[in-house]
Amino acid sequence: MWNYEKRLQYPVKITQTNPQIAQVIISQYGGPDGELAASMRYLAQRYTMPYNTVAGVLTDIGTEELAHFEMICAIVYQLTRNLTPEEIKESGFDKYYVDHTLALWPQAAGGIPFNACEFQSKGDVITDLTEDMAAEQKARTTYDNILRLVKDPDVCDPIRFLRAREIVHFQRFGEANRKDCSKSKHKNH
Amino acid sequence: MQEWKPQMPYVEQFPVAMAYVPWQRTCTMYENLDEAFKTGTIFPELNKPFLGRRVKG
Amino acid sequence: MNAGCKPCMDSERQKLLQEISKVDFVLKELNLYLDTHPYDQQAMERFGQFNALKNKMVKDYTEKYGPLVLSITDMDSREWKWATQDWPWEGGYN
Repeated sequence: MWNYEKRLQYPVKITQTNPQIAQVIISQYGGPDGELAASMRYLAQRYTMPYNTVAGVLTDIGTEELAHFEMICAIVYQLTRNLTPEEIKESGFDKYYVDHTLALWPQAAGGIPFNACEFQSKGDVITDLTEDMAAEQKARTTYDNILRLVKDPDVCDPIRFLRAREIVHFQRFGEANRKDCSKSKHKNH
Repeated sequence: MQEWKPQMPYVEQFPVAMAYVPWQRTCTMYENLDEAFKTGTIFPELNKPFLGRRVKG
Repeated sequence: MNAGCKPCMDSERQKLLQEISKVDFVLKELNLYLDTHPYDQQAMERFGQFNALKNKMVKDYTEKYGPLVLSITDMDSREWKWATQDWPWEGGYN
């Protein structure tokens, strides 16, 4: 059910490499509150939603999250491009490099690999949507933490965009959770 | 000004032990698409930027 | 330190791509809004307007620079630009 357009949702143009912050930002790729976890969570939960509109919210936001982890990967890729062995050793990036060279692999900043224990798909509308609201807040907090640690404007710009998306997603999951959402047939006032 | 009124939800009961997020109040859109894109939302109402150590609502 | 992203050689191309991204962003926001407000006529009209605009811009971009979607490709070309042109994570045009 997927097509894609050959462009990032929001541009990523990093002019200065920085393997230290790449190690932190990778958490939004493979970490517990990252974009890949978000996408897998929503795309897994949608099958058992009793309302079409809620399945729609989960599919549409789950799809957007795919575009988001792609942006995170682009950030990490550009931050680690053409690094010298000295740069790799100095920054502590050597621990990742030995196993992955400069390739992208989904793990948290602390090293835990991405795994399905990082999300739940419980099969109850209220439970799943509440999990999703929590997920968006956790992602937003992770972006807050990244913004506290990173000052490079080339990096902060797409990060701020991604953070803003979490707040909108929280609102939409909250609306989906209102039981009258899919049944409301009100015309505009 | 780009704006329209959202659907008005009918008056409802609020049973306990449930979580409620308020419906979006307005559908005012940013006039300037550049600003919307950079902000990360087309709705100013949903813009809650990171301001430093703690987020203000 | 080395530069992270590929340099962007054509600012007109970058500008048009940026405009497409902005319009598509409006569509995504309206998409999510409509998923929870499925009877909002004004939102649907707005979606239609921006969608028509985006389709035109994508067609323009494809004619000048190369494909953005598989469904609009230049079948007269001798080159399968979809695969031979740079991918957006390189940072040149994204």
